[in-house]
Amino acid sequence: MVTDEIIIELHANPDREASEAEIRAIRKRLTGVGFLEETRIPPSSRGLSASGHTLGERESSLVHHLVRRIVLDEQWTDGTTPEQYLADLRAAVEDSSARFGVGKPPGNGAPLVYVFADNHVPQRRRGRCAEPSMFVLYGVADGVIITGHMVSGTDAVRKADDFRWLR
Amino acid sequence: MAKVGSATQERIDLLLAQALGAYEELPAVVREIHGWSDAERMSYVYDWFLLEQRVQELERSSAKMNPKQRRRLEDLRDTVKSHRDEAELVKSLAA
Repeated sequence: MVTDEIIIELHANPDREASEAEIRAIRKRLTGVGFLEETRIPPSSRGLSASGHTLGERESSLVHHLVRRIVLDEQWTDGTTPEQYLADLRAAVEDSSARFGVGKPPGNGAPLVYVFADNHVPQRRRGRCAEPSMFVLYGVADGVIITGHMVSGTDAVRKADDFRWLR
Repeated sequence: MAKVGSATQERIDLLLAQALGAYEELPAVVREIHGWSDAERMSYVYDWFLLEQRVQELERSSAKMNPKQRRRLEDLRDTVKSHRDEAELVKSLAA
């Protein structure tokens, strides 16, 4: 919770660069949280199946994202477990290449943290459409990872109008 | 970016069906999305960007589609066109 307050404070003070200690705290926060425990599944995604999970009307957001990343985006291979997928996202946050940004789309109650890092997902878990970078989005309002997937680079992701890099 | 350059026919069928379904349910989503939690709303929005990348790749794969898939791609184009405003609204939520 203290770290979320730091993120809010950094977002409110766009001229202030985050300290190394603050970045460490943000890393720790983001590697300690998961996805929403339950989320609605759009009808068009119900029935998608991968790694032994078939999407119904409501699922854990972690499973929802994993199945999409395998079936629709082909970024991870079928057989990747939810735990491995989450570990891959956490490894990206912990990686020395990780860059952190913050921004708040107007409709959101609190800022988002945008993380970009090199992709170190093991080759055996990389799907046919793997990309060179990883993207993880954290939401302070719910205290959860909102999404995580591979991207071609930082420019490939839409960011809030007030987005800025923290360092 | 989703790459379906060497996609199988089965995968093209899957992506066409999923994209058509996603666009058709978009008006209902737009009516209720402001009542969702930030996390659910942003999750949907960022999945929408990935969906649009897959639609672009389907366009690039049109030459290898069979006649039935081409007809479905035409349906998808029409659906994309008729739901353009809703899609723009969804994407604007990330800005």
